[in-house]
Amino acid sequence: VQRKIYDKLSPGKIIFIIVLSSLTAFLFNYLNPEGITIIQLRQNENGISSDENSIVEFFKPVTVETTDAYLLFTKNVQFIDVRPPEEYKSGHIPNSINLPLEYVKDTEKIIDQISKDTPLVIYSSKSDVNLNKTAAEQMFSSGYKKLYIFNGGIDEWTDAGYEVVR
Amino acid sequence: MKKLLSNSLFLLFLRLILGFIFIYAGGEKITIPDKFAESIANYQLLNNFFITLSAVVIPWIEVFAGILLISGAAVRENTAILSVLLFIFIAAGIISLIRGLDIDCGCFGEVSVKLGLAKIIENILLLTAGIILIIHGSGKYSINKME
Repeated sequence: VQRKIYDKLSPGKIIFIIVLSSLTAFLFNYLNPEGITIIQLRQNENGISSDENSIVEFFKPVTVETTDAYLLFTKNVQFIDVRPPEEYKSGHIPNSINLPLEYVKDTEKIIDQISKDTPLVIYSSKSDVNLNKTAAEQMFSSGYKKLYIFNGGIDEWTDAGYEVVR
Repeated sequence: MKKLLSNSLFLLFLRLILGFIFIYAGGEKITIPDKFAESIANYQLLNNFFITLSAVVIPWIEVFAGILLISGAAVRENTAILSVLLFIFIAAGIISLIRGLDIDCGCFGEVSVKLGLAKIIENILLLTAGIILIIHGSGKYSINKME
């Protein structure tokens, strides 16, 4: 029976239907104002581009390692420290904003400060990755779609010898 | 039983069901690829490139294959394509349920349908219909221009 079915299935027709559908899909997506970017040029797998303004919206927060976090830092991407104020004061990444988790819940307060188009890197300390996740999920669902999570946090940042402000 | 499965009216019935479901599912997603991409991302199985590629291409494959299936052209081939999609949906659904993800299936665009056992059983039934069509073909009610 398998042989009989295989003989009746034409691979050529299957390829033709898939190619025709795909070409139509690409053309429609290109013309559709709501279309999406399939190949994100000038970006590595984390979506970090040579130009911070060209960072595209993600479908979920993107986790980055220390070297990529530093790369984003050199491109003046805004860092958000979600630890409590006393921990922030004891040492934080230069120019980072302290937004403790209790304020992240209150999204109205953030909207006043930061545009939703701004790429952001969320970090805390290495032992607080759940803090990052919760904060990122809350901010992502309230409209911040260019969101990175740096789980290594202030610990790996310090270990790598990068600048810390006290 | 074999007689029923190869009955032209029964095969037409299966083609109409499978065809209309896929035309509806694809049509709902074609104009909102970003929303569909978000649904695919929720399964946490693909990277960004394959998420966007699938979000753009899959709805069109569903619509094309659905229309051809109803018309009766290249029924075995179109059903084979849709059956592969159904198999992928079933596998992704089972993996997500095992991982405890509480997500929408993303099957019908913005129409919210929770991913659960019922959805997986529904897809298994559609896959069964697909396998019957692959084995028995279109029956006599088809334009058969491509066969």
